[in-house]
Amino acid sequence: MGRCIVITSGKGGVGKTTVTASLGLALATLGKRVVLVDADVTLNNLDLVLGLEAAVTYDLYDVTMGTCRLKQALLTYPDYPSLKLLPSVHPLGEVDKTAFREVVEELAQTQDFVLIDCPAGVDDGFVRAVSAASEALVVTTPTATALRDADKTLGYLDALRVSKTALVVNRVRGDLVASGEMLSVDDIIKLLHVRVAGCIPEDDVALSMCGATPVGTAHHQAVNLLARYVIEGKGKVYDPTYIYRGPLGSLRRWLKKA
Amino acid sequence: MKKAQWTAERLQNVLMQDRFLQGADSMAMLRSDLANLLGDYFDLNRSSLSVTVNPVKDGSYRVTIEATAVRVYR
Repeated sequence: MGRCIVITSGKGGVGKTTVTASLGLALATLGKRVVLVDADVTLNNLDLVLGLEAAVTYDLYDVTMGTCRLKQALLTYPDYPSLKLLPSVHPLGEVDKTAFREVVEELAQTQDFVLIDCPAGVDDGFVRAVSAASEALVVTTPTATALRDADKTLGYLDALRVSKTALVVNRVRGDLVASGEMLSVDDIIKLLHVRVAGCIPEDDVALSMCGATPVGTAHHQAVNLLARYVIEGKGKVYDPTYIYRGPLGSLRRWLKKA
Repeated sequence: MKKAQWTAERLQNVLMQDRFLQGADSMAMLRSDLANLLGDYFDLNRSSLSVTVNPVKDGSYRVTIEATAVRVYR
């Protein structure tokens, strides 16, 4: 039986869908069978992020309504056959919570990981997405507003009996952390009292490529570390400040500002 | 003060209020529980009981409970 992990945030625009896609790719690269479920029914984007939007015939709504079989709605990512997507393209389709849970349970029987991309906010869509998961990754950015929402989301997850939770801090600027202008991962751990599974640096390439970053980039390394953390339940978290320390680091910070 | 430190201090206050102080029920329940507990040992002036929570720089919180008792029970 595979692990069902909901990727959530509370606040919108923190990079939840990109993290879901990047993590899925990284897990598939490590040989895991992964399916990504777009539970953001009204504002779906996972198909677009993975470049599979033109291949969608059936979606989550069709599966829950019995219009098609689960297998017919699943899309395979071209470069990684072990990575699949269950898209959502019916913006007004009302997906039943119980039916959604059954779909996720069916997927978990043949996959190592089912990653559920949760809608922003803590409304019905959030409850539906969380109801099918036993674990949660809360994506946040190192800003006060996103962290406040992440803290509230952790409280809701606790109330919904999702006990295994961890934070993914996205869009961290190593230069700003090193100069004391941005909260560090340690600051965030102190404030939220939660495990941090990953720290992903802000990367213009990642933004433009929607998750699939070239091998060797800081973003790629950070997502790989996150994937290993998810698999093992512990591990190293990427440190985006290391190239900005020391005299050479000061020069890099200055160049970044200039 | 560095911007990150300033943000952390503000956020610590906000999170404390979100988690605890904003919920009026939580504070009323705590005061009631404390009054019952302290009432076993002191003849307590219940209206004098106050609870304050202040963030400390290391990320923890200082919880101060103040109350006036008319006498101490034997």
